[in-house]
Amino acid sequence: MSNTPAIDIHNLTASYERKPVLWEIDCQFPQGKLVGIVGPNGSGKTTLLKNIMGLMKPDSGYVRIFGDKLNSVRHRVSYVPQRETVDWDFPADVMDVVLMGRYNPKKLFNRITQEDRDIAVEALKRVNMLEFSRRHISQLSGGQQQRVFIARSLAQQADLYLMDEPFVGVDAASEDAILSLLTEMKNSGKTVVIVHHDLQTAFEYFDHIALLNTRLVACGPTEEVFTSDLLQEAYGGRLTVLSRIGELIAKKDFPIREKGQENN
Amino acid sequence: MGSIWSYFNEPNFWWVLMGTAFLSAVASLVGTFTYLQRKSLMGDAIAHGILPGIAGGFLLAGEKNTLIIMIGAILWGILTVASIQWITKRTKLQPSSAMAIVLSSYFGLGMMLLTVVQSSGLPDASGVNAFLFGQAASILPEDLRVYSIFAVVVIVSLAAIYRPLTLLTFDRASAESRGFRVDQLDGVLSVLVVTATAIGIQSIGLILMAALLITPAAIARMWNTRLIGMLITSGIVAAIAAAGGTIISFSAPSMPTGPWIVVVLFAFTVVSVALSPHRGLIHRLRRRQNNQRIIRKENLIKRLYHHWESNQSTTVDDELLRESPEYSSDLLRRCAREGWLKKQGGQWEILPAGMREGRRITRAHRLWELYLSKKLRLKDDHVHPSAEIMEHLISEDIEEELLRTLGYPESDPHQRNIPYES
Repeated sequence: MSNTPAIDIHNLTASYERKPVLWEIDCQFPQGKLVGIVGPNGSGKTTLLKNIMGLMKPDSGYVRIFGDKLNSVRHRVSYVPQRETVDWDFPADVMDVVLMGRYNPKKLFNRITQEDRDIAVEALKRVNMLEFSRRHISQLSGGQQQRVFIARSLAQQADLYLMDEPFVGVDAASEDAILSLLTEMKNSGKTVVIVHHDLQTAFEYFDHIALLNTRLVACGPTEEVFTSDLLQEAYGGRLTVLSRIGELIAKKDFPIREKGQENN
Repeated sequence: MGSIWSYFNEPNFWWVLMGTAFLSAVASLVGTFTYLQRKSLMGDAIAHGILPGIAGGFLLAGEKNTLIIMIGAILWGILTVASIQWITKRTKLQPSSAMAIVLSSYFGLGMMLLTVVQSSGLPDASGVNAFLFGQAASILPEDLRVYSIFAVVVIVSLAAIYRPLTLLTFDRASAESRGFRVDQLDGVLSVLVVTATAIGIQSIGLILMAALLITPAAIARMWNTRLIGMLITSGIVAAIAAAGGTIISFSAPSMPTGPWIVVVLFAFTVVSVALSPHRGLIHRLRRRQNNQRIIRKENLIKRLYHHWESNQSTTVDDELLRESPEYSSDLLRRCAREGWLKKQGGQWEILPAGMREGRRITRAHRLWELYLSKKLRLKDDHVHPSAEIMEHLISEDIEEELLRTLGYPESDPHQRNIPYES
């Protein structure tokens, strides 16, 4: 495994409706680790993930994945959105959803081959959901739906996985299944980045943590980040000056960077 | 009678029948995706918005030239979509308001142009009204050829983007993150909706075209749990409805086709709402009846168990049972069939299986009372009504969890013994 960081975030500032919600984030996530993006509600965790996945355009800064631009390594990255963002009443069964992981963005007239089916079956086995493969997705519990999402992601056979709150609304059995799978993935050299809001479990789950509260409070190995000072800083509230200047930027329609400086 | 059905012998009739069925099926396939993307209103906006394109095409060609009218309709349809998107993006108007504004403005403009066409003295000018409500009987084989070519293009395009479009419809963020060109897919779907609308103008008419885009999909959803089945069902439903409308149009040529197609679709909708598995009214009614039956049965066996608790006797007089509110000979027969009871003379004997069942329900009742009292801190005299219903609902694994949470308790809040299987 190379020493290139799986993800390198450089001076990233991002806003929603012109109001900055992430300020000058600068950090690296190593390869082959379980990485947590941890912080209180509204601290910009999902926004950071969306910027990494190119779903939002940052106001300044950039992200490198395996040392490259996202577009050239997309096939090595898999993203698991929050479970609530999709309509689980969609007409599809478990197998249909997992096979979506095999669709090819570069091809018209996509076909599903036997190999794709084998990969999907394998993915379902790894999340202990194979017996449900013909079940409609609305009939699953929240935890089972999450496992289906993860199976779809596994079917993409990526090297880097980004998951948004996979433990929210999940039963104990699913939590165990997901956790042991994550460890298994790490041991086979995959990098998994997880957005997580619960401090209690974050310490047990992750090797490496980015502690976030609209700015980066700390980023590093879990033992180094989990100090009472840093946690106090992250969970002790927003910096009022940051919020006020953010509101000003939105109100006055001000740019975040002067012209020509957007990438720094 | 004979004269009304004489068109059955005309080859033109069969061509038009198959043609409209095919065109409608194609439109419903595209409509299935707009339905699933919750853009049903968009179909209606497009259908109304293309009228200036139709009238303009007619004026430009100077006659009823189907190809030019189609192209006019498609171009103006694209303009309709673009206008709605532009307004939504540039102003603070909600998409629904933007659609309403564009729909009514373009439709008004179209009606003005239509008046110009009608007073123009051009050949076939009076026939343009067929585009508003559809008139299958007026479709000629050469019109059908033009529509069908566009329909085939729609089907092939849909097949080409079928899987990406499915992923986009289900999970947009995931599609985008994987490098699917979501904006392009949106654009292609919009053009397909416009084209699907345009191919139906003469058979169903643009005012009711939205019904053909959305209603078959909504009907199909009630009978299917997978997309592929949904597409097949909505195609068939749309084809049948269109065929029905066409037959009526030929029987009574003064009658517009579109309204009849919509009426047939509505009939399908009513039947589906009533009969659909899982979602239908009848299914729900039957499930409710079934629940009532279970409740009555379980209440009876619980009563018998309580009788045993106070008298330690497993036999009950038929007389005594008659006093209970749920008594009916049918109910007793069903309990006997379960192996819970046996009749001996004028008495009923509770069999071991019945005892077990009565014990289980009593246990569930008392566990729930205890749970409410301990964990929700309800007053002891408030817990009984809830337990009366929950005792029928508590499954084995919930009972197990209650037992664990409460630490295998001995008695309920009213100091009654909680019975276990020994």
